[in-house]
Amino acid sequence: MTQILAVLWDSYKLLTAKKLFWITLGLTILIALIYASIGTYDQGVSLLFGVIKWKSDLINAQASFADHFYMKIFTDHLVPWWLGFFSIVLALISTTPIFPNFLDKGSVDVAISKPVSRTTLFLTKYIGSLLFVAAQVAIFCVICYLAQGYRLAHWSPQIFLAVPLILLAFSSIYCVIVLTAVLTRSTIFSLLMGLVMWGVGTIINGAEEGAYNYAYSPLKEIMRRSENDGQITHEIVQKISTPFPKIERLKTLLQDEVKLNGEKPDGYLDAFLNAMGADRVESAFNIQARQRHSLTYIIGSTLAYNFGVLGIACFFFNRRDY
Amino acid sequence: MNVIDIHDVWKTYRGGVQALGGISLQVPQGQIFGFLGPNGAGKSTLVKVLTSIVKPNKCQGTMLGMPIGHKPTLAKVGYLPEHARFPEYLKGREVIQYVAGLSGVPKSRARVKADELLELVGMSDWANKKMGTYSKGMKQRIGLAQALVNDPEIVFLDEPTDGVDPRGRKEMRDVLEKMRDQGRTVFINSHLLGELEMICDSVAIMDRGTLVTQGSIAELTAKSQRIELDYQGSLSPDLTQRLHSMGAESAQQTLTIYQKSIPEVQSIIDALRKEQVTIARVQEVRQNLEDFFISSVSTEGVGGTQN
Repeated sequence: MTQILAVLWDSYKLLTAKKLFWITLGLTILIALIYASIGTYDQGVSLLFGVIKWKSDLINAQASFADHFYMKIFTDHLVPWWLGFFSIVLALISTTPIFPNFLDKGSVDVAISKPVSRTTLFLTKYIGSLLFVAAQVAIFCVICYLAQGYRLAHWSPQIFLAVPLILLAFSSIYCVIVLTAVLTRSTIFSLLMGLVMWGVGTIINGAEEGAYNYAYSPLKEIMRRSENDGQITHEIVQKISTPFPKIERLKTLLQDEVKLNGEKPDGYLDAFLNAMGADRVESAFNIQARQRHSLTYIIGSTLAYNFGVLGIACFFFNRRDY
Repeated sequence: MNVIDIHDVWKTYRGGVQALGGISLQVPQGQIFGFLGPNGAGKSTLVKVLTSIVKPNKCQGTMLGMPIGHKPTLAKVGYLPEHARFPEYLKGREVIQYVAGLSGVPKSRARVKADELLELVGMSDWANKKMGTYSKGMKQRIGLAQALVNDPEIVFLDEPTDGVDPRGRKEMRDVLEKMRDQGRTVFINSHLLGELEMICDSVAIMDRGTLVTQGSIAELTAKSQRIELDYQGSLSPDLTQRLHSMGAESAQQTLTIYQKSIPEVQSIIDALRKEQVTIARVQEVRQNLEDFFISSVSTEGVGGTQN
């Protein structure tokens, strides 16, 4: 246990020594505070605690879905985009050198020559590297949680699910980086491989989504396509995409999990879309498409990918000479 | 008692480079043991095998009574690698405490030990500065301190005086001698033969992955011990023959008597004086470690194996 604490303590010192960590944390807090500053008044929406105001007939203090609108800014925009993209990119840039530096000659030797197994050392170092993202997301969620409680008089602890979900998304990219680092010790190549695998996964999962939309679209009849058209293609693409991590989907899982007064925001979103003149049928299909995979499938396949890649990395870390 | 007793250690790296070719080595307890060899001889590889950093193809024997690669035994071992790199974001004190943690030393003990060791290596004033601000010599001092943080029974030091100034080297020697006095074993890889000669009780010489010789410095250099005697004038044929029968070789007015001490050559001096030969100089000559090392290893440059 002393050894594990020593490695985690080292990870913490490394984290706090990085300027990029503090810059990202500053941006994270700023964005969370801007979110907290969004409010509604009788005639519309306000920003910066009422400093800036927009008049709106759709979103105002009287609108039934105003609270859900506020919640969905978090689940549909802040989580997928700030936490799920920009902060992940910054975290990758910051954490990619950790393993190549650790594996440098003269550095890894001391750690490996100690009475701690290589597997423990590797996994603890890996978990320590995830602290970067865990700290950012946790602080972001705390501010947003307090903001939602203040604005909506409703406390949604489910938003803290963002911490494990974003961590899993980050880990799905970072495990590739670590595997490449163990094999090559190159920082640049490791980052490149991580980004490439992120891109490949996104394209394949995007292709699966596209194939699903094509095969099961409610507009089929209008487009005069046969009932089974595209379904075999979708099945094939789905099989190909199964082993890949569902990073993009993980980032939107909160949309299904967060409830306001016991109801999912989507019901109100439907009303909102109606008010804006959107097609109800199509929006319903979008929700159906988003929910075509079970939570078990999304989390399970992503976890399996993480364990698989990390297992290979750990195997080579254990096996190689330094 | 031997703290290291290994036999038949083989290591071939990927790509077919053979670093160790059946090494057998015994290191007695409580000694400062010097491990010598040209670049690429396999010295660092052997230390890495003993500290489980490199996995051997074959290795028999024990360290501290346990099989090589037995992880818990490493709690009693200290190690300073060659070109050691410690996290630049940590302070000197933190590096020692971090390594203490890895070695399983409890936190409270590590704190006390860090203070003691910082004092010992003369880094107390720099203890709270980050490693990134240290000179190479200062990093080596911290490197030595971290190697001692778990009160090791054996400490492996790979080129420990690399980058250390003469005063620092002297202080380092004092630390190592103190460790020996406490019954600990110090295993040093170094190219600085003069340094080793000053403190080592015994040495082993490696070349091209094999052990060339092993023993105390006195034992190893004993074969080269000789008496050189310079005389003036010439020797009669009869005297030359007699001196030759007494084990003396003559060349250019110098007699060389191998593996004899001064008392043992008194009869030769008597024979010369009886013939009125003037003796200009009598000197006992013994190879130093460097000469012995050079004569022991291949002269074909580097060992040709990965170190």
